[in-house]
Amino acid sequence: MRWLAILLLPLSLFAREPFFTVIDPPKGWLFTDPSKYDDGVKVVFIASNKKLFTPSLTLTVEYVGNASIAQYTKALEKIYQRDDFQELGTFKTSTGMTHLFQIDKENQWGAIRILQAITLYEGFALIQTGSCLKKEFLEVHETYLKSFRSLRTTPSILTSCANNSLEKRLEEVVKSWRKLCLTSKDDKESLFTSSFFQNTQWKPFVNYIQNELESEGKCWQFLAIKHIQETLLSENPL
Amino acid sequence: MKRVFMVLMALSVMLLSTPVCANDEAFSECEYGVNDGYEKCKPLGHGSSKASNSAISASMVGWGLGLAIAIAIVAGVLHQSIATHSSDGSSSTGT
Repeated sequence: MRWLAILLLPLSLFAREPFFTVIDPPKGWLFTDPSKYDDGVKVVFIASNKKLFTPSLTLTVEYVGNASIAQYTKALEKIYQRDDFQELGTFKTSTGMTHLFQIDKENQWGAIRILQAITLYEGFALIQTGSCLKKEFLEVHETYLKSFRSLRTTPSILTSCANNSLEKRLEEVVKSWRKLCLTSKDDKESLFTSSFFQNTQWKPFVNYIQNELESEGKCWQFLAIKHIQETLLSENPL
Repeated sequence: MKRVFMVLMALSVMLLSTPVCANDEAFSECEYGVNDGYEKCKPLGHGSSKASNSAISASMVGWGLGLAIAIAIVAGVLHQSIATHSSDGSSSTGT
């Protein structure tokens, strides 16, 4: 653990946020295409493929520096000034005090209700957002609140995972990646997509997370792979 | 027919990157200075706005993927175009 911590320390310096965040999505909800995610959006779930406007849930992270929740709320009031914006109250998660907001807006689908839970944590806003038709809100609001309450953060991926084998597997990938970066002049994207790295390290590692760490939950599996990939690609090997 | 039309409309919105909420959430110039020290030109609260728009877009498009396909796309193992073609039939692969 100590050696891996030393290896990963420089990585964490270049990661987008110096912690790992995960939620428990509603049971049976589906992922949406991650290639379409905006910057800062970690994961998006939808309830069903079969409805024209289906309930959705997103987890987004925004850097806010030293901004307080009062400042953030004031900013939201301005952003949603043309919508029906309300602060509903607070509740606690393992990450800290979470503030709940409701935004009602109209679009071509009719009246839409957005429920947003925002937690300020170590200079970042962890934003969970549920969207549904206003007329369906009563059917899904408990589902949203349950997911919102499941928000948890850990200092690293390793501390978020109960399976000790992850440490060894991740160590192998990181060592191989660093060696590859130091011995090649290609840019990181090219190195990452090279058949050598993909076939010897990355694909087996992705398969390991997908098949061996199923007990961590599908959201954890997805976010872990995304987080590790982003961290490797943003690492400065020097 | 109506459903096909709706899906086409939703696709157009996504592919053209048209903002779902027009100009009603545009930021004023003065707000860009609030979120100092990180990614200039992004005002405080832009994450909330982006999250709302992403949630609404996802609700509108309504194409869900199973874990296997989602991981394949995010890990870069599966080429994006392949994922697009297989997204319709992949929902049953969710765990």
